[in-house]
Amino acid sequence: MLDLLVEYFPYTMKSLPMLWRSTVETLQMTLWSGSISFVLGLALGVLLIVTRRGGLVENRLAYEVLDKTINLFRSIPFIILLFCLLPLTRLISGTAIGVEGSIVPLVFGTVPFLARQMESALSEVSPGLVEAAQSMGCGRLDIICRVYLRESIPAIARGVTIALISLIGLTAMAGAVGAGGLGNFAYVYGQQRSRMDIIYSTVIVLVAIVTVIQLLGSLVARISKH
Amino acid sequence: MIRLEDVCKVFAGAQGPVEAVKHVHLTIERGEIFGIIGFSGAGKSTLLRCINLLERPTSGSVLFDDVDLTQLSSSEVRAVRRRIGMIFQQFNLFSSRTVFGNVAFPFAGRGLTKEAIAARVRELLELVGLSGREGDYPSQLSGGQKQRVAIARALASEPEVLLCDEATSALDPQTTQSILQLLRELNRKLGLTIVLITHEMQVIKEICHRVAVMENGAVVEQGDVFSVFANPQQSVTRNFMEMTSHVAGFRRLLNEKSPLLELKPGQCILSLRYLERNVCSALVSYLSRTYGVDLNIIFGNVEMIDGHPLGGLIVIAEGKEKSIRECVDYLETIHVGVEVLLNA
Ligand SMILES: Nc1ncnc2c1ncn2[C@@H]1O[C@H](COP(=O)(O)OP(=O)(O)OP(=O)(O)O)[C@@H](O)[C@H]1O
Ligand SMILES: [Mg+2]
Repeated sequence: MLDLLVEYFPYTMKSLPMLWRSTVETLQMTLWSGSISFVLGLALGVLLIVTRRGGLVENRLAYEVLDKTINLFRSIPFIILLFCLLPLTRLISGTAIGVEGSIVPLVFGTVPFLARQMESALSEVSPGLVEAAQSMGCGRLDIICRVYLRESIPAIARGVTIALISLIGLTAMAGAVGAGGLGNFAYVYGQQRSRMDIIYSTVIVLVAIVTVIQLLGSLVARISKH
Repeated sequence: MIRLEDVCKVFAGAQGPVEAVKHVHLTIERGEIFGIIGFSGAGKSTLLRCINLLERPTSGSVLFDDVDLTQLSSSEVRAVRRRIGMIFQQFNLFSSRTVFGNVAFPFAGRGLTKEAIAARVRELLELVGLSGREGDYPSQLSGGQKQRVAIARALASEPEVLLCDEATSALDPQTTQSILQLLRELNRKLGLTIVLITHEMQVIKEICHRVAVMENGAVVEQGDVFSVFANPQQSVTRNFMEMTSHVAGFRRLLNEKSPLLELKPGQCILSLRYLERNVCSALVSYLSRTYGVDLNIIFGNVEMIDGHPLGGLIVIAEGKEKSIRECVDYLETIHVGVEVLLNA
């Protein structure tokens, strides 16, 4: 078995500690930017839902501004967004490279997408439920927490899964331009030195990570759906 | 207890403003079951939602125990809403919560202990006949059971009024009966005032004390159920009456000149309508004995409302012309509406 691995993945086997470190970095980037994006994306999703026409706090102006800003950011290709955000990244993280330097652009790349996912998840909540809660004397905050968020847990889990998977794609891209992680590993050690087996092994690791996320997401969606 | 004064509601529709509710005046007394009937789009739901201010009236006032709700702050409105329960056609249960979670929903943040909430929920479920189903999710319940959970949830804050928006329209006739039965019980046992809207005549006849008929956003007729349906003044009301009787079918046969209705000489077809509460049901045999007129009932639709027959008969009368005339005169003196539909 080991012989087989050494035969087909010669360079990978020599740089296993490096592969491990890159995997950890990728997971770190995903976790940090994913958590921050989740909080911001969910908040924006809630804002979109409550300010839209017929929403709890209907506000045309706020809705339009949010809606258009999200579209704007979604239309910028991530690699260009990375370059645009360099000054801001340095300002916030103190550096534009490594895991720390990747968080700001990854968050900017993920939040608009996640906000849309959350918006569509929350819009599945039937207006009848909101009305029922109102008829019981619930206030707006109550309705957001105990009706909108609570009732759409399965849909939120599905949306977060999709966003996390696309986030992993972004971390690889950020990695290629200096953020570290598997993208960096594949680019610097594999592509630039023409060691294909390194590229293939990163693919295997990435597929494994995505599969685990997908399984977890489906599990949460399934147990929260009745 | 509830007084609507000149309530209007105008929506900004795609093709200009829609007047969903027009100048409605209604008074609902404590302890009664008040029905609002009307065809689809008449504005019933909008009117009902004005009562707990889910819909803010464009003009007019909504008085609840003489307090004008339209003048209250939003936190005061929320407090009043706890005194007004509401149930819906689509039940609107929280699918992520169990039966227990749904019924306990209104208790959150009221400073009650877990045990107190559990005891209250059990009590409420017993009241609606669903003991032991605490742990089920709404998806595991039938329509009738879902509506029972919704009723228990609406009663959790011990409201004085229950608003029902087509609460039985999604249910089969048998389940409808059992839910209406439950509402009647709640009305008797708890003195709960009930305002219900429906497009089913049967629901009104079954449990309402008083009724208002709506058409195009306006209340066109109101009063106690017997008087409104015994003497319908408006064509909508008559439509509702005829829908639930066979008279409409008979009129169709008549218009089509059906061979079923060919008369022999000396026969004529009469329609008799019971208009007042004093008609005894032995009318037919009394007439044949007294006037020597044979009455052959071909259509009958007599229902008991408030213990009095309401509805009418269509009969083929056979006898001497003079006797038939005497017969008709007599019926008029006892306030039975007579109409000669066809004369041979
Ligand atoms: N939010 C709204 N915006 C615009 N128009 C509305 C709105 N709600 C209701 N309407 C209109 O107001 C009128 C009355 O509607 P409403 O729902 O009160 O009727 P309804 O008597 O309850 O009918 P149904 O039996 O079908 O439920 C309809 O013409 C409807 O299109
Ligand atoms: Mg309606």
